[in-house]
Amino acid sequence: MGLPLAEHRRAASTAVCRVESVGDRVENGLYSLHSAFASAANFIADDGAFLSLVSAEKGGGPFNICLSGCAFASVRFVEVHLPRLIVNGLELELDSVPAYDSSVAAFRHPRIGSGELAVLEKVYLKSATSLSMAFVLDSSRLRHFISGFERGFAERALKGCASFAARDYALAARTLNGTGFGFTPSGDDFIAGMLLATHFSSAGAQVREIIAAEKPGSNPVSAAACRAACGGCASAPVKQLLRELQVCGTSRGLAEVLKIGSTSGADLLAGFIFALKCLQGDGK
Amino acid sequence: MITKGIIKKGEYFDSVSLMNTAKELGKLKDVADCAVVMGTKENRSILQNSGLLLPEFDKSGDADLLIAVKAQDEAAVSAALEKLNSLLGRKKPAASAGAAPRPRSLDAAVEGLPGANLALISVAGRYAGALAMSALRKGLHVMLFSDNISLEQEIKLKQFGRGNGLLVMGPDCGTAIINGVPLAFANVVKRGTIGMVAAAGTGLQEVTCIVSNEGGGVSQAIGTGGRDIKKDVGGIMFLEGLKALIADKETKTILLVSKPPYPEVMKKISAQAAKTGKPVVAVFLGGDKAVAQKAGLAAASDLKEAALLALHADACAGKKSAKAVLSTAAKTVQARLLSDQKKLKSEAKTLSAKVGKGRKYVRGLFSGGTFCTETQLIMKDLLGEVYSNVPLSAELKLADSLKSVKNTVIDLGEDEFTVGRPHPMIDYALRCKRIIAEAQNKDVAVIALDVVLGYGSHGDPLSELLPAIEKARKGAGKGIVFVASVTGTDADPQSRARVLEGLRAAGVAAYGFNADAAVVAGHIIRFLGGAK
Repeated sequence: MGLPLAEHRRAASTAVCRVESVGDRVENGLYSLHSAFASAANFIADDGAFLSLVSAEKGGGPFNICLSGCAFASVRFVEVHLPRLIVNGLELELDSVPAYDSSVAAFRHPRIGSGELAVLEKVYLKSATSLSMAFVLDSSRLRHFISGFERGFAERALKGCASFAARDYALAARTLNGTGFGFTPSGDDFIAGMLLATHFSSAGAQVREIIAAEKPGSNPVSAAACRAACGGCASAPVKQLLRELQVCGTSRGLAEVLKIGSTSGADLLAGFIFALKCLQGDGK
Repeated sequence: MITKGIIKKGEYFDSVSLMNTAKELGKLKDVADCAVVMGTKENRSILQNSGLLLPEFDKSGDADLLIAVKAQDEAAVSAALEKLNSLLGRKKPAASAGAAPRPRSLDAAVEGLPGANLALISVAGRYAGALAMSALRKGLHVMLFSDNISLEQEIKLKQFGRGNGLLVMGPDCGTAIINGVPLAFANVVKRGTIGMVAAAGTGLQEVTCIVSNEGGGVSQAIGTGGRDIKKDVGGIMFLEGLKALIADKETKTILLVSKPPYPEVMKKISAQAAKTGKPVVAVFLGGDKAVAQKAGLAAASDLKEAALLALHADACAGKKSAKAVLSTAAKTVQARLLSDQKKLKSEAKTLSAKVGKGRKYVRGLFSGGTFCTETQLIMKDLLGEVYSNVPLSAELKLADSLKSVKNTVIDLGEDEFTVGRPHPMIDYALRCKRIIAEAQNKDVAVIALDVVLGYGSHGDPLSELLPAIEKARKGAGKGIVFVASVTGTDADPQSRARVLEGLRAAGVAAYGFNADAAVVAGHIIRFLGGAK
């Protein structure tokens, strides 16, 4: 080939701060920093609009702007005027950046049957962390909830689930909302999962409307996640898992979903499985 | 028993950290209960029911951290809060800083990077063999980018590598992706579960990019160098690579890419592939598909079909038997390919109307050797004879590679063009000159190009190609249609989407698959009355 090594080192080093993808729910606006983590930073606009700057490895999400080569941990303001993006005063090229399509409604076969759901639940219960809301699906996991607060939280979560099973969806949302540990409380993630499940059931639309009326999500981040789920939007790992479940009846993508947050992915899936089982008439 | 607490304004942590912190505090002597939670209204309600709500918590917000401790006495509360600070305030490991080391010898490199397990060697050919052997003796896998290594030396290196469980990728291995790291000419692709072995550099780039662009991912992409599958080397590293992928837990589906292996090598590949329950897809460009099929492999005609077969097989790999998975994948892919063919033919018809009167031949100017071969194979079916400097059969070899004859496809990456100059994937000067020269010929209807992106390739191919195309059109080249394929991903430094868009804006019929570009170019000539 005759290529001097120095040439491709130079070419490789030309990578600079780049936008890899923009979520399809990102709106124009001036956003200020809300919260920052190692590989993601959340921003909110005055009108409540929300976006996250995330590292490319985290992948697409409805509100995610995936960046590579950027030290976004120091970003305080983000300005979006599609197709322009200004991060800390630096204008980034968006012209040919692909939009992340977060819609799960685009799948050809929107139904997930009870068989596929059972496969997912079985694998999920083997893999989900003991500190997640998996106790909703397997009561033996309640043994991990020991302190007063933990017991109170679990009790309240189970009450919320009982309300959902009894078709009092508004009460279920109010009971679960804002409860639990973590930056996005587990109950909020669980509701997002329930909302996503409504897109896979013929009876889901009405349920979704009732829950959405309760404006779930106790902080801007989890509220945005619930809004996205309500609109049938999901992050890349969740979308991939659901697609795989539909097409192949397998759930190999589960591990990637469980990596979302510390328990967020697990809590979301607990909500998804629980709600879909209820909507399919198998809720307990 | 007393209950005390604090609010940490604007501090937030993940749920597992908070739960584990609370559990640690709960283990302390004289602590009866505690909670470390975000201050949502609902959590405050639970704290109230648990007897842990404090009056000062009323002023907290959703983004505040609430800590409540119920303990025997003040001292126990103080101890718990002190422990809390140490648990939540643990310093994160400092990021590594400073420039990467620049060792000046193999020994210094190994010393400076003790965990390294692979050496990428790119030095003049006469030194490369000895250096590769030194690396192997140090227990390093080798990627040998250099060429001009003797056949004997290649065999010796590969035999040594095989005997010691080490890969020898090359010589003249231009592409590999090992454990997610692109080496030499390679692209930024998603990680996944499709593993590949290839004796075709740009072919490997094409299939890795297609897999990634179509929603799949690559576990490993092992290059072997083109000579590996020939009679003399006997496929030593192709087989070792295949073995490695069969053993690799992260690899669920295997894709093999090369020109047709020597028959004895093919037999060995088949025997090896038969030992795995993983779906194996193969594209042996120009080879007899029946040979691969007989061996239980899913055989593809071109790189696009191969990548799509692997992708669809991978979606269900492990769920059913490899045979069933491949059979389902084949049906899905055939449907897609038929639909694509129809669309491409229609596009070719539209494009043929733009060709100037009397123009009837295609000129393919390629930087990737595999693309040159693939294009000839596709055009052979559509047009019959296609001349080249690396032809499919000896009678179609150009007498002079600088002078095209009828339908001609040239590999500009061949040694005859690269002596004393960088590879055409980096340096577009020669190709740009040739574009302008071919456009002067009033017989030329279509100029077909490949644009290969990724690390190692030209950083801004549009800046070279577009002015050349414009110049070609301004001269005698009015009425010539330009067709191009772009190999890369949107995550590549050059961005595939950006390059495709730039080409299309300049009136080039640009495609994301080399096979598609070849089909369109061939059909245009057919519509113009060109034979088969």
